[in-house]
Amino acid sequence: MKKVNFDSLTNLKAPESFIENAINATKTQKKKPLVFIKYSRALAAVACLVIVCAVSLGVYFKEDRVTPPIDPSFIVETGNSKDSENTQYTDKNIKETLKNDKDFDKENAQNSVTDNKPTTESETIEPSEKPSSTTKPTEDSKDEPTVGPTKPSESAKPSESTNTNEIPTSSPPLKPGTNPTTKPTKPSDKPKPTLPDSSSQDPNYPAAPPPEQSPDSTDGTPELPSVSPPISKPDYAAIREYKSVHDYCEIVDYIETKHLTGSKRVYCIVKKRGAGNQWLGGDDWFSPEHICTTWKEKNGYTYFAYSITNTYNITESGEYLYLIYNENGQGFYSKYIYVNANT
Amino acid sequence: MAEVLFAGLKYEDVVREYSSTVVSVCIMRLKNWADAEDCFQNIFLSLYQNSPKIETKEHLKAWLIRVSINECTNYIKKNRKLLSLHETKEQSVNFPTDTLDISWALVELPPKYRDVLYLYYCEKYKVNEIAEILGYNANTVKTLLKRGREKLKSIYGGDGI
Repeated sequence: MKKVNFDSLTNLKAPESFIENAINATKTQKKKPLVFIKYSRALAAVACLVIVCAVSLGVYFKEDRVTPPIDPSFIVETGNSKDSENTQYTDKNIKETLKNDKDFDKENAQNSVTDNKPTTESETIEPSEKPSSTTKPTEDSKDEPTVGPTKPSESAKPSESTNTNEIPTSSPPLKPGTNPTTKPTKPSDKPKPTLPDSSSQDPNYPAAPPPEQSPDSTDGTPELPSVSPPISKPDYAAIREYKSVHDYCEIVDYIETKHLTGSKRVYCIVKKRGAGNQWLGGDDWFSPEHICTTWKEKNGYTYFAYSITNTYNITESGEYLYLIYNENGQGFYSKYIYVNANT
Repeated sequence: MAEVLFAGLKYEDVVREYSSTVVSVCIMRLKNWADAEDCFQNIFLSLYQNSPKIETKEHLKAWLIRVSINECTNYIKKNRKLLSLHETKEQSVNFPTDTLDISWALVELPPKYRDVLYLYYCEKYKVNEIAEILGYNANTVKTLLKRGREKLKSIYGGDGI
């Protein structure tokens, strides 16, 4: 049996350009920062939050704003006592109740002085004042015992027939037909491009700007659900005929028109061969109105071209890899093209 | 500022000494020189940036192999969503088929067999070391070796290895 070998893989040598690029890449790359520095912003945010909470709590307790527990005795009925729906639990009523209680305490204190007189058991206490004929006696005055000193708090308690333990909800009743779980809907956002690199949290990849980034949206006013206005077709007569990538240092490629829904804009990042994760670009979307681009539609494809030497200030000739994204976040890539920066 | 050493080697020396190993792993997985170059640079950049505490050369080599495998896997995942605009003219790796060198057949194997066979036959690692590098059980490595040989035999069409 012949002995086989793996020489092709074992003796595979890396080209010298690989090694040089890998060594040179360290000159532009920085070492990863320390964990403390890396998360300094998060730590600062947490510290600020803690300080704000502490200050607000301090102010809160300083002002003695501890809400007292709701005492059933504070519940004041308005209107018919049997109608529990009319029971109000407002602060105003509670204050009035407290005021009434204080007045009642004063009266009781005065009464208690007179009531503390020694009385015989046989004595029957009669009401000192008979109700006048014009004023009808209230129910409380009827039930009010006349025997001995009474505790004012007991008399101040409302009758147990009312449902004082039922605490009504503060929220107003919902209108019929409204769903309490539904929330007001925001204006629909445009889909942001989902770059494959950003999903992997690679900090070296440039992040694509969101497609809705426009100077109009930075004034803080809420954006209405906008419908992108129809973009006027480019002036094809002005589009010059480009020959090839190599002649004009441009990226010339096509995207199927169906992928360019809505406004025709593409986003492109460029990387020199052997540059690792050092991508160029990512500052702008290219639309047909962009001065650096030329667009052309033919056979269902949208051809576009733009000068990467002008856009990205490429001064070094060489092979460049470019990735193109449309507004839906769909990515297109092409392998390396040669860019002659001298032309 | 003192230069960081990896197992007693400077960064440049590490790149030169282990470039062959890293390129082999990248080519075996990506089958493309352009992609291999990207991964090659990322692998050594991660070594430079992370500066792991590596004391021995064996440890360094194993670390680079492990990172190379992960980097290639991530690279394939990243580019899976991208659509190619046109057929690439990138030269693919062509292995000679008229010799008894079966590296080309190794490239065609599924990744789990490919890694084990590569480490066993090309890098001359032992079963336990392969298990440690790949995070497998030793018995799993033996099984993968056996099945990988059978698959390699079916691709190669020879008497086996």
